[in-house]
Amino acid sequence: MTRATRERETESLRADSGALSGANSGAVSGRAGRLAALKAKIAALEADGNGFVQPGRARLEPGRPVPAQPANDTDPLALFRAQAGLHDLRPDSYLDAPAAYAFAVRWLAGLPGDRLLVWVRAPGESRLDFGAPSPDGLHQAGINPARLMRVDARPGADALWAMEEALKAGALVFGEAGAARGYDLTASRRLHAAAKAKGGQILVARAHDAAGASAALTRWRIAASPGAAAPWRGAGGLQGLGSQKLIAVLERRRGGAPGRFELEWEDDALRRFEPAALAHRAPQAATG
Amino acid sequence: MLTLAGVGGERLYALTPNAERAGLSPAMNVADARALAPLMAACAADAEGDRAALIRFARCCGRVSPWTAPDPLTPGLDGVLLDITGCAQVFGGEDRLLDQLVSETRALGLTASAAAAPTIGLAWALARTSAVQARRGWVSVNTARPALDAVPVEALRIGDTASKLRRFGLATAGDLLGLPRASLAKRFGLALVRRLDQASGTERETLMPLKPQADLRARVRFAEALQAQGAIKEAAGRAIENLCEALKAEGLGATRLRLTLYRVDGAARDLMIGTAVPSRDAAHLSRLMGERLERSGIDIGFGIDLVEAGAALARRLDHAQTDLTGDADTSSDAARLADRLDARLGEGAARRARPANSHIPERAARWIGAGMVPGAWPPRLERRPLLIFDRAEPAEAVAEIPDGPPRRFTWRRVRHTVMRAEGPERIAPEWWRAPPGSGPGKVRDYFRVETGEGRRFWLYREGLYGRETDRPAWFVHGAG
Repeated sequence: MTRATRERETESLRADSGALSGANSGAVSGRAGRLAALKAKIAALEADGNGFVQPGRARLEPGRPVPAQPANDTDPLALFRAQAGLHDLRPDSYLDAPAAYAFAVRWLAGLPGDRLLVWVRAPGESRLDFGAPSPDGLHQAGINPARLMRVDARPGADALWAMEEALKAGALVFGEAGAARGYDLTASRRLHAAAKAKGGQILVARAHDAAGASAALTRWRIAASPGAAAPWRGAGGLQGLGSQKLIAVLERRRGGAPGRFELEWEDDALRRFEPAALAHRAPQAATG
Repeated sequence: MLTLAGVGGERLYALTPNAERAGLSPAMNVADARALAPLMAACAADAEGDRAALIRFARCCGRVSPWTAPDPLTPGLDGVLLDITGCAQVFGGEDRLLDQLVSETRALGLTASAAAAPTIGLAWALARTSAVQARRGWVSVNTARPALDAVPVEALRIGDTASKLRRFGLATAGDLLGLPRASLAKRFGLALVRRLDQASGTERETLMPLKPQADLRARVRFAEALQAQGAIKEAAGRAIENLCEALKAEGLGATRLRLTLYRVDGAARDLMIGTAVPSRDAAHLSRLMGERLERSGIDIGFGIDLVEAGAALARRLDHAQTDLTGDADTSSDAARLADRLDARLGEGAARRARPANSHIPERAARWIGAGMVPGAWPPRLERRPLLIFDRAEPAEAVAEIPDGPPRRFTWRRVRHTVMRAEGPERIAPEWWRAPPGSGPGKVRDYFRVETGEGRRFWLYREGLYGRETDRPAWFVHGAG
């Protein structure tokens, strides 16, 4: 039995016994009663941080930043992004890794505040070998490169340690875990706890074929998708590049249902000089 | 010409050769001097600055002898005292030592003469009298007495008493030594007798040397050798704490810390850690060192009986004002994080980007040590991908026209069909960086493309078709 299935079973067991103890709450006595009380306590603890908080009813706690209201109501990820903790993502296929990175960068760029952003690279990880962050590219995606700290670590224990240290220092973290064996339920729980304690967030990129459990709040699978063509001509008779389009499948989510999102970012409206609306008008029928 | 406030108003302190020729002398009243030379230009002397410069020079003389002291007895009569006992052999004798000292000092643009003698008083006198002409002079114990007899009374470090002695017709130390001590002391004061005794060696005079630069080391010694890693870590922590106290007293912070573990059997092992910004925070440094210790895998052998922490590199660290809101200082948090990452993952593991003035994509950002706080990032109008490869990877591409974007390309053994393309963005090579004789390099035409699956790449074609090359090479340089 793999670790993942064992974990799933224990989770379902816990849920069953919780329901049972709720039904038999009249007969609280001795060992069973204590057990039920402990289970209730665990359930309360887990519900506290793991269930998604509705932005409108966010509870204020001292020492913990308030989940900011997303500026843009149309942001479909706002609900997930408001949660401090660990989020997992993996590309749908090997070549989709850049798309997964783009997803992570947009996610982090949309977070309020200007915390340090630590990008933990694992240059030895062959499944995520799509280069280093480009400060200019990050800048254009909405992250000031002055916030960026790049860390090169060996994949596995070192990279995970670096991520945890960065979280403890109160940074936002994007980490490459790849297919490292060290990234399991225990490791991900540690990362999640470290992130939650400081109100930070960590996005961990895993390899496209990585399996195994993780304690992440959400687990995403990202694929690139052909976007709409730009309204102008590009090069060599081809259309120009429109807004980037991704398909983000929410595979697992603590306390919620999975989902599928088609995401498109239009972030270059100010930089790109689109032809005026006049140029787009429909051709008028010749009269006369 | 410099003046200094003295007894009875401003007095001359230092003179130009012209002023000396006009009949002025040091310690003369400024009013008298003006009567003699009405056109003289005078400004105030910086006595403190002189003193500091003399101390610096005395330290500099440390290359001759470790035992040096500045001698600012009289303004304008500055000197440096050196105890050269045992040092002369190194330089090949007293003569050569003095020659070297004088010529090096004169190379600095100073007028200098030097003398060596068995007593401080005699050396002082010789350096200012007989040695001035010869530039140097030295007397051994055997010739000390005749040399002292010839010393004029002005060179006995007795100030104004010398002129009184002159009035009595006593011109040299030899004249004084022939007189009964009691009457000399009664008439001219005890100071004269004392100076005479010091010059002749009857009374001992010691040199108070400059304290060497603070020794930024702290040791923790154990009677019983330490065997356990935990205990060694604890000891290192204590040594670092003591070191931080010393650093605090000096107003310094360590940027490089060395921990030396001395084994019972005589072996020693050094461990180094570095910090991005100077630090004297014992908790932070201990933590860094603890991680270094854990990962170093040192052989404890029969045990460690001495742990020494030293600041191998220290820089000035003033007290920083923390802000009044009590919020954590994010820049120092980042520096601490970088220290920890560097300590465990290796130097330079954590880096930050600084904009560099270049259009070549791989040179547009410089990755620097994480201790520096990067400045503002200038906006760039040209689109850049999120990810840039450390080294552009060759691809096989098919373009419809020589200058156009690729229609299909194969990269990492996968074939891609280009559906959308933008470009070219032409980036010329930086010929001024090319090594001599290698040619200027080739022009790159960059294209942003999107494949049929929606994947985005950043490709370039190297070389202008027809002008620079017949078979242009294609490279994938970025993605996302």
